[in-house]
Amino acid sequence: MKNLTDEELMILVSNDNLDMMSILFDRYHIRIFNFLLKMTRDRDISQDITQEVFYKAIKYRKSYKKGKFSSWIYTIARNIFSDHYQRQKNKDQRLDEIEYKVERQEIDTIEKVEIKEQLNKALRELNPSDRELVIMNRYQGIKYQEIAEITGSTAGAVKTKVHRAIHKLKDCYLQNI
Amino acid sequence: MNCKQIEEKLIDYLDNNLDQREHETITVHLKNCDSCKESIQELKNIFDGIDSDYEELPSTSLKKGFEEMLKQEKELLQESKVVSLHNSSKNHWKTALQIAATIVLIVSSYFYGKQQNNASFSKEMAVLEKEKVQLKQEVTISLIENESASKRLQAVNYAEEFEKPGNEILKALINKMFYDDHINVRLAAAEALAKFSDSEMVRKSFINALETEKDPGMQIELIQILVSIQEKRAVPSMEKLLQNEETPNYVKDQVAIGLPNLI
Repeated sequence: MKNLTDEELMILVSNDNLDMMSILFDRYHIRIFNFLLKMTRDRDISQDITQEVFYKAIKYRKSYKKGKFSSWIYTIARNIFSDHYQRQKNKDQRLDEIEYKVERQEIDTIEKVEIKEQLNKALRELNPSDRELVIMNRYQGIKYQEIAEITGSTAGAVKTKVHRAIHKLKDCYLQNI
Repeated sequence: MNCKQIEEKLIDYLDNNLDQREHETITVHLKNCDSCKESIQELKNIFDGIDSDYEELPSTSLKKGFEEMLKQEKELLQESKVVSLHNSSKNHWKTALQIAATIVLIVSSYFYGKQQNNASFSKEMAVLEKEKVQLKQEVTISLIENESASKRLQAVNYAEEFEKPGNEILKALINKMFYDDHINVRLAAAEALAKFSDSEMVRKSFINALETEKDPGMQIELIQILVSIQEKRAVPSMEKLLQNEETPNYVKDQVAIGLPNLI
């Protein structure tokens, strides 16, 4: 079973062979978790959302339509994340305080002057959709074409947007040092 | 390529996404342009920084949580299967009812659709029928004025086919009955009008016609019609015909036969 493709495994899952989902979980949960961690900078939330991604993947297994599995699972992850982001935006000021605290922490770590951390800071300054594109393409190595499939766009448009986002990231990064 | 164009291609350059010619052009440009050299260095730093970023591992609770969830989902799946087996007998009537409801729905929607169709069809037919009648009336009226006697005769025969001809048709027919040059047309017109004797206008025209009519054939026709429609107002003119010396004997005979039926 281990040498089946993602898509073959997911077809089995959609035919109620739920055990196959644990192989897919092993293959994908770290990537999904890191994608969310980069987006949220919050381990607990990222872990919760990752859990929910695989829960939804099982719940909605019948709606899987033989497309690329990675695109499908990322689509689910994005949807849950944006629900979460929306909810967070609508919440009262408590969240602003939390964000502020996180920000303070971030500033402390910047003093270690590691490029990596400065980039994380710069990443946080981008708007969510630019941040998402940079994370998917540069951190997670997802090709333009697949990002297009996940976000419902075209490869050409995605490439243009990613490049623009990288330049913005660079500007933020340079302003901080 | 100028510096701006070069800068736009630097990411593709670092990703090795350019064709050889473009790649070489930029390599050459970078050797001579300090600002572009700086730009690419900054990008390189960014990409190096990103590459040095390592994946973080979630805590083991994620895997445990997943396994717990999977177990529950499998039980749920199992349960739903068991439940469906146990309840199968109970659900028989339900299924049957569902099927019955489906059939009723399909059949009724078929008939509904059919009826709808029929209704609109007959509506359409009615409109067409109406248009046809109108057209026929127009044709009749125009034909009735035709120079050819046979055409006029045809028109009179057409007019006869109307169930409820308009006044225009009736007037045209009456006009033909009185004044047409051809006796056959006049006779046919009278015959046609006899069918529409419900109309007061038609009845009066028969009475008037009998008073003024000189042609014996027409007189006989009119007498027959007036008797058959039981028009008592025609009695005076019939008596006049009897007294008139010019009236041919066979016309008088006809009056003598008909008159008793009216009185």
